Amino acid sequence: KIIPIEPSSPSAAAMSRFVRRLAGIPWRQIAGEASSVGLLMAQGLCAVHVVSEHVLGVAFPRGPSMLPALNMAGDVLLTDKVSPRRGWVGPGDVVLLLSPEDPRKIVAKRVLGMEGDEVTYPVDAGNSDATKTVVVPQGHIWVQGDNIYSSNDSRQFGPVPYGLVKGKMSYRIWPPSRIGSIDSKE
Amino acid sequence: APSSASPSPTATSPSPPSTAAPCAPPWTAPQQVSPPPPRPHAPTTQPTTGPDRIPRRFLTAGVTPADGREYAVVKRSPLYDYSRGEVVVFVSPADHRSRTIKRLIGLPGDWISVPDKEEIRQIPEGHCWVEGDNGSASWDSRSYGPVPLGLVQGRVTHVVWPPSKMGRVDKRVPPEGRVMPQRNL
Repeated sequence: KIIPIEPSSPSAAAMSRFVRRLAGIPWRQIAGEASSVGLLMAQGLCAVHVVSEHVLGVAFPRGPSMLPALNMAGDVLLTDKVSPRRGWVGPGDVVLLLSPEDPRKIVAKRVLGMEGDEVTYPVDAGNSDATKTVVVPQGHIWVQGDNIYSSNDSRQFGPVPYGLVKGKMSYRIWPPSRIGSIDSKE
Repeated sequence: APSSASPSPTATSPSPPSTAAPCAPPWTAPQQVSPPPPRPHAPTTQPTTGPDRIPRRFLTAGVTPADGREYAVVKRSPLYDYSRGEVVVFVSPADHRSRTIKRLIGLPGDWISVPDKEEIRQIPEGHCWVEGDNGSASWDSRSYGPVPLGLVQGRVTHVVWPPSKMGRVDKRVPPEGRVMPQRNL
């Protein structure tokens, strides 16, 4: 119990009022609430991260290589992370994959062929009509951008191992004028 | 146990060609051959370097593997900053459902001499060269070429089971004269 002491001066009086106010604040309760809210937030962030990494995430692809299916910028796509692991990816799907030229880069391309498929592709689009045909090796896929005039894809870096595929993009949620599923072209 | 990758499933069933051309070319068999059947593990005089089977990241308490499998701790590296001589785990380039453990011999830009083919190759950007320690029984980059770093899931740091193999998995200097690094790390 605080025994009030006669203050000896105005500043000492202000000081003791301040100390009394501090002592009156329920510190323990505040700390308890802060830590439980903090814990809840951390759990929420973990859950969001796990879901977006391994179940359903969102992607913001940029660049001209998938025109006209995807805009150069501003698109928001739902990315299914379950399908690649289960092998539910086939020709015509638009996928996210780690670039074989730089594992820290993620690229969006369309799958043109799975292992065993024969793929015929233009070797020098825009400059010549020459094409080449390859058979996709075991465990690999052939990916190509829809915009063959401006795409760095399997025509340059060859067929890629299926293990690099990290997500399948099948639905666009932005911009509103183009909301809907991404066509799966053969 | 052989240090080669677990054998792939039997040859894939034929699938129709993906091109929509009116006269589509006839389907042909995939060119990449399946790995050779595993040969018996050749005894070596060096101490065992580490596990050659599929690792587990977390050892489940109370589980005693009765099938001779080994378990190891694998540390991921989101920046892909692996060094030459580390043992790494990566998704098999021939079958995305299985994982392989090999030693990382070369980094992007390095020049590798491939003895069987008597050639010298440069490892392309974003790729690495992997070889098994037990060279005669290992199916690795000498057969399927450089592996994209995006397939590498982590480095093996310790073996935790069986007790006879417990311990740290150390980096090893790549074989003499096989690797010419492009950059000195």
